[in-house]
Amino acid sequence: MQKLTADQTDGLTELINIGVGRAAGVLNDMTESHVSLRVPAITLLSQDTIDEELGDMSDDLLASVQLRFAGSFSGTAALVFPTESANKLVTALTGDDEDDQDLDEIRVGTLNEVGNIVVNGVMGSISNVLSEAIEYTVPDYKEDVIANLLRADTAGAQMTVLLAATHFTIEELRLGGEIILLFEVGSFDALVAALDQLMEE
Amino acid sequence: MRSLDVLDHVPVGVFVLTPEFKVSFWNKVLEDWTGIERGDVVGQDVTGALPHLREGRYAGRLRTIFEGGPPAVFSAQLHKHIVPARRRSGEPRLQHTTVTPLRDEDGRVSALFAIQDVTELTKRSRQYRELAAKVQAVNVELEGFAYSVSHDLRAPLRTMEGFSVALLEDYGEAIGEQGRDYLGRIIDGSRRLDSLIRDLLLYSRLSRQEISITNVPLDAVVREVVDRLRSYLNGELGNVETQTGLPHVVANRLTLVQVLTNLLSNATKFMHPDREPQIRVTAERRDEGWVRVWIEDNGIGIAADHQERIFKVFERLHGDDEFPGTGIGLAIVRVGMERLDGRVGVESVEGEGSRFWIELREGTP
Amino acid sequence: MKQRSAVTVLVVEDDANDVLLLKRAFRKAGTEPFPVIHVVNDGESAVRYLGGVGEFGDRRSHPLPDLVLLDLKLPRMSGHEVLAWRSEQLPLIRIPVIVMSSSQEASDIARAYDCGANSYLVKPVELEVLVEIIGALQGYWLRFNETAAVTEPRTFGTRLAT
Repeated sequence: MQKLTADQTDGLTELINIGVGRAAGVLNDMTESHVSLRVPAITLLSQDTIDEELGDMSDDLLASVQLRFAGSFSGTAALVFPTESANKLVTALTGDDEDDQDLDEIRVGTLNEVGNIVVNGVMGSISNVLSEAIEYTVPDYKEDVIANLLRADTAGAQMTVLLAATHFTIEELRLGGEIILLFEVGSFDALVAALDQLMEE
Repeated sequence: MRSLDVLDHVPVGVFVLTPEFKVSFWNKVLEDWTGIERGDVVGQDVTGALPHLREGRYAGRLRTIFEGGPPAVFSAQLHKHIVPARRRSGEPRLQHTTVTPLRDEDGRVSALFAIQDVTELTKRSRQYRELAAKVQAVNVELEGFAYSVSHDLRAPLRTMEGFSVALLEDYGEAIGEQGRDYLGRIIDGSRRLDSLIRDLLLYSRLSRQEISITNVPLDAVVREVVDRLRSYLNGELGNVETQTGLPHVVANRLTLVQVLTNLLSNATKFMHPDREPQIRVTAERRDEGWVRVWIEDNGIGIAADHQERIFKVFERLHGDDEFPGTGIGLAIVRVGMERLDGRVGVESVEGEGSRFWIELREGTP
Repeated sequence: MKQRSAVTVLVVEDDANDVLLLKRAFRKAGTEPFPVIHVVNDGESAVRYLGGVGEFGDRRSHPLPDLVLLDLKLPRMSGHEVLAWRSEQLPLIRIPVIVMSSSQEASDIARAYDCGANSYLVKPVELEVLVEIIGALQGYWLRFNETAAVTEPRTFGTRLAT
């Protein structure tokens, strides 16, 4: 599994924070709420250790929005919603106050959009530092246990997973929670090289 | 721009927006939904037909698309509509839209809007939501009902049984043989009604109680069930042979104990009058990760045309004089296995014995 | 094993038939020590009895029990509520309480223990079984089980001199 230096980790964390910050801006414009998003730290994992890292939710069915991308940097970006967070977010953003609901079609649509906005925000700030263009597939929504969320598409390949636990708060409702941003890539080389260059400048 | 006419033939509203916010394509579906003809909108600035797309909340995200960024999703719940469209009934068409970058030969990027009509889906979701709420309410009521049955129906039974016994003990001599016989019948009746109530409660509890599914060691569970039955039946369990090294299965332990207890006591109950009772518990691995557990006996067996019926509530094949019972035991097995996402069945030859089986997913030790 | 003069059991039960059957079961079990049985018919009275309030003020006629048999479904104040009340009464919590209920619902059993019940028994329909249960209960809870002194100024010295 790939390793990053402390500086590289800091740079990547900042890049991701710029991305989620932009996503929060989009969400706020759209819903007139005050969502803030923050990624305190990132972790690099091999696929085998991801279950341990997210152990307490390894049996839960999680909602996720995924985006595959290809180019100098390729892989899958996913936003994963623990059930409680999914419900809180949809309720806050839509004012749909029937709590404790299953994720029906209506709410799934909303989650799909929220995930899309956050993932796009982060992909936007990543692609800004890369010189080469990135190609994207249409975003995909799935519900599964964490182990199956990413792995299915990339069987066999040795992949590194970047895990960014993302904290959200919604001021006026005084609520918060965690969502998880995952990147699964073959290598961070291109991204790390671009980051190194940026930091040297 | 390559020809997009093929998109006239998909059941999705599609239009294309250039970076200058001009509409460059408008498919037939959208003509139908909006009443806006292709000729009236293509080549025109979007402000005429869809002014809101110029607003910040759309324009900002569309800019990313024109830069070749990742696709954007606009959901029905967060956006009233992307295109103004009503159905014939007047209700708005709820829309789920995916916008993807579309590159032409010169590398210019437009935005392709693909709009799904989710009105029906949403409606059905609402209905489902209401239905779920109703089911929940009924379940709460049922729970209250079962609770009340367990309390209130059994109290008078205790009185009937208790005082009949007391009467028999204290005044048995005085009321004579026939009197004692009558009292015996009252006592017997109350006990039967009690086991009926108990089994029904178990049945209803099993079907509604929340259970957690884990890895359960079949070995230990079978041993527990056999030991417990043996002590309950004061050793009259007959010869039970258990295969060793049984695998782990995915189940809820208590439910599995209940299921196996009922199957084993069923196996002991229907003994053949001319044979020493012999019971065997074995397991085998089946296809696709299933484990099948066999509970075999050499009892009276079940005729082929009754083998389906026996898993239903109150289905009995024998009179109470022959084999007493409530007719719920195997129904409990069926419900238990349903709750465990497993299967249950029986193979039997009348007069020779029965081979009941349950199937569960194999677990990890 | 210990010696006691008079052993008292408080039965909290609203069903008069169940009370009669329970008393008979104590008699039939024939196990020593045979207790003095006091009966109250609802949860509120149980609390008043244990607290020595009002009509239960005199500990000579209403002594603190060595054991409480508590039904769950009771008028005015449920068995669970009685248990919850008791869990906050420091000396009284030392008196063992055995729940005797018709309910075999897992939630009732769990809640009873959560509220501090010392044991949970399901009322059987068969009188014979009840006799067996009471016999075992007398042996265990009234004979072998060590209880802690419930120091109460008003009765100190009269009840504890055993």
